[in-house]
Amino acid sequence: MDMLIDFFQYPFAIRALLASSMVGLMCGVLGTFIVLRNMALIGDALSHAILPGVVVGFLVAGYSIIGFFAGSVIAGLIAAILITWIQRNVSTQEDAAIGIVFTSMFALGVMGISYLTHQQGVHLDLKDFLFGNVLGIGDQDLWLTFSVMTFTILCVAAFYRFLFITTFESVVAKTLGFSVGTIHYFLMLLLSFAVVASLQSVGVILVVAMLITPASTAYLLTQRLKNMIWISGAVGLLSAVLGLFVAVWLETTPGPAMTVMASLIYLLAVLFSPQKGLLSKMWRMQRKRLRIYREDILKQALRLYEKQALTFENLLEKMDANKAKLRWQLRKLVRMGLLQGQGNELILTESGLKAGYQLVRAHRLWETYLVEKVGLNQDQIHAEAEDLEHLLPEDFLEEVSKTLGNPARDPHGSPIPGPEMDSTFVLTDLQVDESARISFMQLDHWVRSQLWELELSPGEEVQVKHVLPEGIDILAEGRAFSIPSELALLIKIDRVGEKRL
Amino acid sequence: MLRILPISLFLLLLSTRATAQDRLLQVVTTTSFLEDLAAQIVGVEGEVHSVLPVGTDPHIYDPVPEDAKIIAEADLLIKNGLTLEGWLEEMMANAGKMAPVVTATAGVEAIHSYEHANASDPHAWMNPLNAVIYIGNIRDGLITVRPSKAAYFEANYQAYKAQLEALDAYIQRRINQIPPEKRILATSHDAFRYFGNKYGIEVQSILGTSTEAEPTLESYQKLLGSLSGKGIPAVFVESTINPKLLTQLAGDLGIVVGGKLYADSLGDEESGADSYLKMLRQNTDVIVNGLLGLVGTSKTEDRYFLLLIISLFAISFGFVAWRLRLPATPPIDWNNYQINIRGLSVSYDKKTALSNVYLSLEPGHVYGLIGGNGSGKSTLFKSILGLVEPDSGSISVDKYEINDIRKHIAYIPQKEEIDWSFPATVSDIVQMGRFPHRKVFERLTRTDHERSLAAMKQLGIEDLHHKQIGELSGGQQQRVFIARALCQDAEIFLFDEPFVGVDITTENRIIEIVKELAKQGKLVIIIHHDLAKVKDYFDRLIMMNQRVVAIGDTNLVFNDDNIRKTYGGQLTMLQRTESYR
Repeated sequence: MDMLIDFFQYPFAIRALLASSMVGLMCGVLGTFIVLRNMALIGDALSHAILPGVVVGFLVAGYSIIGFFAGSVIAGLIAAILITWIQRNVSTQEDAAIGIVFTSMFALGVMGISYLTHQQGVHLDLKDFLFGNVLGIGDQDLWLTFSVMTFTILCVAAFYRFLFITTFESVVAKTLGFSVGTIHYFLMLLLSFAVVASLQSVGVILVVAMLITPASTAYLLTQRLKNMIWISGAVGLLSAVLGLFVAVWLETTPGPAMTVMASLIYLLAVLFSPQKGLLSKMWRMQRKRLRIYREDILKQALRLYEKQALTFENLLEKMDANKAKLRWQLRKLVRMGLLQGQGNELILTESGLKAGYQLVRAHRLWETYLVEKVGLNQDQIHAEAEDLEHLLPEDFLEEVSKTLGNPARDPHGSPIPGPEMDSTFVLTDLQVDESARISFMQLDHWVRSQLWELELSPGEEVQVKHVLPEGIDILAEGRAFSIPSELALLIKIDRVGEKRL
Repeated sequence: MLRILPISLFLLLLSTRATAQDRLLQVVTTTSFLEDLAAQIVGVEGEVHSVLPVGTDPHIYDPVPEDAKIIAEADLLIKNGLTLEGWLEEMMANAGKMAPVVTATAGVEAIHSYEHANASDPHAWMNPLNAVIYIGNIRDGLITVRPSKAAYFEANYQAYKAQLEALDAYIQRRINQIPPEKRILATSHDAFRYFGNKYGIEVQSILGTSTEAEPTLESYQKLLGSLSGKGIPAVFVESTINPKLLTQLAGDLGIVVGGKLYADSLGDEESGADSYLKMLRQNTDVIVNGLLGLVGTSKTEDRYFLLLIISLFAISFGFVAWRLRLPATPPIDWNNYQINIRGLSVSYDKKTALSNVYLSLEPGHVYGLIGGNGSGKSTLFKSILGLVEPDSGSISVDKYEINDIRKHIAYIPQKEEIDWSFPATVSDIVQMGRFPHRKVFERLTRTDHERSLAAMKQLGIEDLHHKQIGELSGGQQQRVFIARALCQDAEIFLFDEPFVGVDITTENRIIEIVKELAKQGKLVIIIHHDLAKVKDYFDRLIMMNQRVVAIGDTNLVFNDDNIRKTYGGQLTMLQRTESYR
């Protein structure tokens, strides 16, 4: 730490810090579009291709920043135009075209520098171009970097809409009359500016890292272009500053240190990004597995509950699973308010029942869909539906139901529970000759056992035949039942038609 | 006879050696100052060449193939030694034939290099008395290859020795003019330690002995620290090294660059340092003048530079803005106009895609566009959209060019044309529809946002507005792009296979919307491949097979005859359609 404080007392260190942060920010912002337009290779190409421009600039103007700047930018644009021309007019693979152009220009540059060393006796160190030299950052370089950064950000802000639409769908942009080519070449120009301005800090080989790594990091962290631009700029700036610190600390060259920092931040994003990170993916998969497991518990519990046999042991036998895991997830279900434990016995709460029947609904709807729409036969469908029921969101399920014409029964003839389960009516609300379905939501334990005894299952359609003081006579599936009043008052029903089953 | 041959060959060899005695000696030196020293001794007896041209840094020299040839053909090779010519050792090891080599520094009291324990500092020639040893070695070498001229070489040696001794006296006298506390020489690399030791000057450098080293932040910082507060008025750059770092150092110290020193190479003719004697003399003058503070500030700031960049920026910015503007819409009555396609022919690489197409399209209809593979239906679309250049023919809207009304044409692309992982939300995409209605630097207005919200509502995707487009189902994705088209205030809607990969509910909803659009007086064209629904979906039909097979009321033109003409040999398709009908 002392070393850092000590270091940044020197004016050249401040210049290095300023230049690096500006380069980081600028490359980050511009890199967003390079990454989204799949131009990483072109970025690399342009940065290498400016070398002959440096040589020509030197031949014309000597150790002058104007010659250097103009030469580099012109060489960059020539490379961009050449690449695009070859891609459009010669039958050469796109990436091969890029490779041919930039290696030849780079080689020309290396030859030129070697020529300058031999014939002109000039000490132009190739290494400074390849890896940068933060010590050599002068006031002029600082002004150059500053103007290029300001211009880049200004342009991205001013032409944001055009950059957005041409990057996202160049075809549509063209159909609307926007000049896609202009934006393409303008980006190339900005890219050349950025590469020239970054040369002193990171050099031509590593500048592409400052262009694509922060942008790729940002891509992992956000779902919106605007945010991606800012995050990318911030990550670029952070990598540059941290890289410089690390370089001072370890006494190494700053350019590579910045690149390594950018890659480290990228690695962190790969692991920990909330949406696209590996860990969150694993976490989501694990959560999904556990959710499916809990849903399976709920279904088994429902089945056992209907048979009046919902105990931990029975559930364990049905689930055929590890005891600890089952206990763990049962506790979770209790916390979610779907299940209650009473000694050895387990009780499904109202919301537990609802959730369970919704799963049954999904399963039976999918079975129906697979038979009616996909054309599978009845014995193939159970396993498929077993998977599908867990996977799709509720609104999609309703689309399926609608597509099937809201069926009341599945291919096996079992009733399909409805989407709404808040039964407000009971059997005694019905008039003579009115029809209704017995609701799935029979919370009363005694009612459930009575219905179980009568072999009247939820979802059955019943029709009221007589209403007598001591009870109600009903007809269900062609069988007649007499329900005593005290039971009829408690049996919940769903009215047919009024509320869809 | 066989025995005589080798003997005669031997004689022949002897005779060629004899003739070699008479021609000029070919002496090769590694660097330019050695060339000058050698030339003084060789005189008229030979020619001296330097491998390295004037101005070249010998530390980082990369030999070219020509160099090996020159060295191989020399009578005598003179090198500095003391690890100056690392590149030479390698070449000598690889060369088959080699001239005798003189190491000019033999017998010089070498200074150890700072960085490397076993290496010596090669810059011995910076002390003129060491140069006397150099020329002594050179004389000895020359005498070995041409003993007959020993006296001549000795005379040259003595004459030059006197000049070197005079130079030594001159340097000592000049240095004595500098106040002792200011006798600090800061340069790029450690070339001046022999010079400094001889004349009592402290030498500081950033690069160390060889120029090959990378300057580190630490070495720069150390030099800066040790120089600040010493009150020296100048630092010095070297002719063979980029002056940037030292210029920077001078700036950071608030002092000036005292001038250019020649160390590893002579200067060119204009420099005033084009011989060894002149080089040392000039260096001394530059150092003394600099350290006496006689050199004024010569800040060569390129003010033009900023001006140049800023004007370059302004021009490119303005040009781009100018290129991106859209034409104003011509006054077209959107309820009553015609798209006229006249004689349109398009080909790709001489393969015909469309030939002589005539079509006339009117608003208020849903046109189905059907045809087999390669029938040109996509090409027709692309032509209307301005994506392909026709070979001949024209597309106009009333009397106007179709290019003038681009912003009123909405294109709903096929799903696979979209990058679904693009960082954009539903509302981002829908708002794009408003882009062509705003000037280049105009921001989207409140109305634009309301319009996009209304379009999303119309398609029932307003709740998804913040979702990334890849998170949507196929049907929802399709609706996003239709919402954009609505938002665009388009008059002409082009759908490219909109029903591929969407659920039946969305398909029905899309067709509902499309019919509604037609009712509002819009013109809709849909590329479609499922012939079963043609009659339900489209009130007009365009049947294509590179040319127009039929266009008109669906009920009239969708008949077996036309279908056969449209699909030609694609029989399986034909059979399928017949089973549908």
